[in-house]
Amino acid sequence: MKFIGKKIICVTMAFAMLVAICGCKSKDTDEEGSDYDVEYVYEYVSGDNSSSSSNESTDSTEKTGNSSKKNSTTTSGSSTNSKTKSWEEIKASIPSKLKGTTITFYNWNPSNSFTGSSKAIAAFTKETGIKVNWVTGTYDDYITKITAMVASGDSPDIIRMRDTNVNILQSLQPISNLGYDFTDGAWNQELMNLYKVNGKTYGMILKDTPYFFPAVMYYNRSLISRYNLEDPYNLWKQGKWTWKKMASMCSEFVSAAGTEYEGYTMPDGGEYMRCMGVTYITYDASKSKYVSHMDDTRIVKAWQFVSKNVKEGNFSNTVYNLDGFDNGTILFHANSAISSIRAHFHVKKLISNGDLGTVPMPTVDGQKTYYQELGENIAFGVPKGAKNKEAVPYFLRYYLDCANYDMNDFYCDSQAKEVVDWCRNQTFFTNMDVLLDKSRYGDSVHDMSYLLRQTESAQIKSNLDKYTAMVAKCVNDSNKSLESLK
Amino acid sequence: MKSIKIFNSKSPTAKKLDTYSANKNTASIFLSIARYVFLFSFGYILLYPLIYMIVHAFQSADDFLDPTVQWVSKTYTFDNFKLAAKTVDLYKSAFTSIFVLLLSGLVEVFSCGIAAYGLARFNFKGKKILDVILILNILVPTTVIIIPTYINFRYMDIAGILNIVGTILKKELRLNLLDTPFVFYVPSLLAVGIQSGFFIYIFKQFFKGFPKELEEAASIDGASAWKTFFKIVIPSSGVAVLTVFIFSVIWHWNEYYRPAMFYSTNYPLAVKIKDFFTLVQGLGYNVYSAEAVNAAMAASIMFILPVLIMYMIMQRKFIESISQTGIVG
Repeated sequence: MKFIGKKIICVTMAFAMLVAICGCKSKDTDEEGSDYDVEYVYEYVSGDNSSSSSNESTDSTEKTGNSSKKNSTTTSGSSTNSKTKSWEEIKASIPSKLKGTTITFYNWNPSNSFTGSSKAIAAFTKETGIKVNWVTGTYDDYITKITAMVASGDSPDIIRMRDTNVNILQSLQPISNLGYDFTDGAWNQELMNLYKVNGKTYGMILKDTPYFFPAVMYYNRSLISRYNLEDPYNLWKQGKWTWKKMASMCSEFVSAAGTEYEGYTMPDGGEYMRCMGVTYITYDASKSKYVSHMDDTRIVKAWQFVSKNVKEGNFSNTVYNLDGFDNGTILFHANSAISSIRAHFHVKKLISNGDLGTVPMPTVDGQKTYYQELGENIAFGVPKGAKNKEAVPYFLRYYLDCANYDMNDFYCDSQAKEVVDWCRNQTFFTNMDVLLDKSRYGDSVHDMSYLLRQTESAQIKSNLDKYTAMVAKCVNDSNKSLESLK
Repeated sequence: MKSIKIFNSKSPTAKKLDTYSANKNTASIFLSIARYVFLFSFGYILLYPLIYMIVHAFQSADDFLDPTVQWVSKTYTFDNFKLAAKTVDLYKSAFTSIFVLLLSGLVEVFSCGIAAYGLARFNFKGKKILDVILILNILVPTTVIIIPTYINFRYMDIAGILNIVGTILKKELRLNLLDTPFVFYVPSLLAVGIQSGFFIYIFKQFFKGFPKELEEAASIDGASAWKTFFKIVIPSSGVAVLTVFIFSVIWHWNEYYRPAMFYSTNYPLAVKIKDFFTLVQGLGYNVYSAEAVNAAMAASIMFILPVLIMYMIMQRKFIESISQTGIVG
């Protein structure tokens, strides 16, 4: 019996291994469709038909280069016109017991990653007597380590966040626990509301902060002048900076420069749909829920536009080719505004030559609202069990304030600064596609992008449908995790 | 008198034999060619990443971007190694790798051998449970237990005694081992370190096949279990010890996850290599730049070189010890 039992166990284990191997899916990266001659179904949106509850807007002036009124509806009861307290007032209100204490700031970058960061920290310590201990962790294990630190009672006092990722929110405490008045007009209530779950806010960020990195479009000025193309900055100022215009410029450029040059290298190809105000997963702060938008037809239209331009050679099929853009073989590249920081490394050559041009993302032709995608939605949170949580808001109030940085030196030029400042006043749009963790769900946004940008227009819908169940499961799992924050 | 048959090379039999030999020769030539073609192809696939790494580690940034340069660079440089060493803070991280990880790896060989001998040779209550725990140690991934392990090291206690005494004295007496080498030394000493379950399993299987007669003879001569283990068993277990030693060194050298979790500073080389592109950005290099990529190749070479040399040396000894070990099964 013993011997038979061992045999059964062995056979079961072998079968399990076999099933596991058979379960590895093969990915068809090339769609061998038979409809190459079929005209792609593509029409520009003639009006604003946003279906996301967080992105309704009636303001039609955002397309131009003029500053416009911010009208994000992701907030509830937020005030954008509160009186802004001065730093002296804030400093005077710091409890004396906090002097001499230390704040542990956990990050995945060293403190000198941002121009002026170390200086700002040193100045804060000098003014308040509160020390800051900057701890750098590894990027890949950032969330796991925070979870472990919180579980062991060794929480840092501040952590940096990138988005409303439930995996990190579970380790945080609401900012209402900090005993600080956040109605000070300096705080960016609109962005902070994106970190609101079940009525409690978990993230902090200021309005006028250098740590605001919207998605922008970069272009190579020397290529523009060499090939007599229209300056995107002028187009933006005239309200003519649209995706169609940009695509035609790419076509013109490639025709003139040759096939070894490329028009546009994308971050992932989803920028167009995000400019439409839609993506696979968004976070609805008013309902404290993640929402799947896989049934939104705008996603199909967006990918049809992208794949058409990839096939025509206007857009590069190689994503995120920073090297090519920096070396002057690519005309356009979309990225977060972090690339326009003077000391940043992304496009060093272009910055040093003065050839890096910055404009906001193009508008979707015929669309009224300009949706400002937040390339890196940075906010800061306080983990549970933080020992010096009371000192955190005072530190962030100083550290995040533009007034404590040499902003003229921060960005690579005044145009970049102008564009970022303009982006601050737009309707924010944040995407939660980052929840699609490949290790958990089998595919990531990049896998989807790789497939879709090479797909014929007629097959885009069917290829998107393949991911619907995966996205739905991801949204479901994430919403269940959000329940624990009640 | 025996008749001597003279072989007539022109006879039909001889001709048949000739044909057979010729066919056999042709077939074996084709087989040899096919074998070498297969081996070279397979070897090329296996060695391609290594060759790529070596070529780019010594290649200048200009050659990297030059489309006419494939395998033979126009200029060779050691600048990539300098940048790599600066990026990973070579001396500090190598120190941690050698004196923390490698040392604990060596200690683990010793402790796992002792644990395996006990499991192989002695019967005691709870032995079956220990066998199951051994299998679980092999099967359960580190990521699953990393958080409880983290908490364990944060509040290291001895049977809860420190906690009780600390509660009475209203003081925290439990030890915080995080960010210290003891997060590796202590588990290694107690045979619960990195891959220790696997090592115990190898030793255990070897000791099971070890002839009991030798141990019985030692026992008759009055040797204790410890003496028998150190004087008889270990000297005769060269193969197993060498195998475990090689695995232990390689796994400890390559270990990334546990140091990344348990350390906040003084990361070992494996962690620095894993985060190389993040670190090189901090020095102002574009992660996609030629300098960064070449430096990454140089860093990889620096990382694998010690293990490669060690393995080449040990491999010879490993084969020798197999031939020298007279006892089989």
